[in-house]
Amino acid sequence: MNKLPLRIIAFASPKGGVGKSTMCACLASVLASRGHQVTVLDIDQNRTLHQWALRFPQIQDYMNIAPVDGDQLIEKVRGLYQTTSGYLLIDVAGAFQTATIAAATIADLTITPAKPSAPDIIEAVKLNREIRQLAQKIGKTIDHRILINGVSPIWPTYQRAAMGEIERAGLTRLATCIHDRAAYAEMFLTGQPPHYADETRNPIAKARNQLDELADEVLQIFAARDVQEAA
Amino acid sequence: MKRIPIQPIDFDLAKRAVDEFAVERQVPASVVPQSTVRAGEGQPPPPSVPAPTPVKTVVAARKPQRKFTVDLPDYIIEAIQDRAFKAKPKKTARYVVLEALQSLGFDIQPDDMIRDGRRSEA
Repeated sequence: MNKLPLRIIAFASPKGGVGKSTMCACLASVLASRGHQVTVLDIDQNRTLHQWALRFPQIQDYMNIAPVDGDQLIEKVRGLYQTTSGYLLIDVAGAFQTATIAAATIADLTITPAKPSAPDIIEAVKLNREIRQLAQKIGKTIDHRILINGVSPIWPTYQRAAMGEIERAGLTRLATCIHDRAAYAEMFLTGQPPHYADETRNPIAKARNQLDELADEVLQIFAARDVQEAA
Repeated sequence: MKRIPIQPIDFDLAKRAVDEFAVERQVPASVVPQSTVRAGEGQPPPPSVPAPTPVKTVVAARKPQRKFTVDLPDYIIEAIQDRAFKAKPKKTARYVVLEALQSLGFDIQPDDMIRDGRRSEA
């Protein structure tokens, strides 16, 4: 069988408002813009991304966004795993519940977005502890990384302190940090994530650059694993 | 770079592990509140909702506004500004005045209550 395995990326945090849905939609759209087959499973009970796709049907031209109940996630992914390749992104609800565990268990990479603020980081640390215990239980390494978003480009003291906290807590974070940009909020009003928006606008171009960095980093993580597996 | 080899998924094991872990750690099951039960799921959006058109900016068009200048004693102006400045998060003086009018029973539309004039409240 020549089909490349489905790569699964879960966006999970016990806390709401950290940018899970936004970052999930953004990364999905970058991957889609590069020609990858992309499926997004929306298991957040608010159905943020599914409602977005219903409101702007053109989104479904380049990626498939489907709602799934959290308790059906594993069965749904089992089915997709046999039939689909490319990337599967899971947008998990902002709560610690069985669906969060299920997503982290089956994902190749679990990303927890967090703003550089104490409440977000505390919740990310809590989730990381649970994930470590879960990994121990199932005898599988779970790759859990923090994605810092809502970053201020002038790196104020509180932001540097937050980064220090992440390091002290032993969390692994993605090197890419996402700045606070209007382009991310706009996409829910226009149906155009940065990679499908007007790139001649400077804020869009800047957002695209950062999202490209993020996608490159994620793809490098998978590429490194492929090399290791082949060796 | 941290390297973790890709491991094939054993879905049956995953399911069992999730169930066991959820019991052990008393993790709540996924809850779907009735209020969000699939509004429009699998169906086109309701016909009463007009198809949205892409917008260029996120700032909503402002309603017509006019300047309305009144002379007030210094201490009143200072009190308004003080209240706006000390509010957490801060408010504009305009917002404080509108709040006061609202408490007197003036009908002020919610989208005219802009707490911070530098940002869209949308």
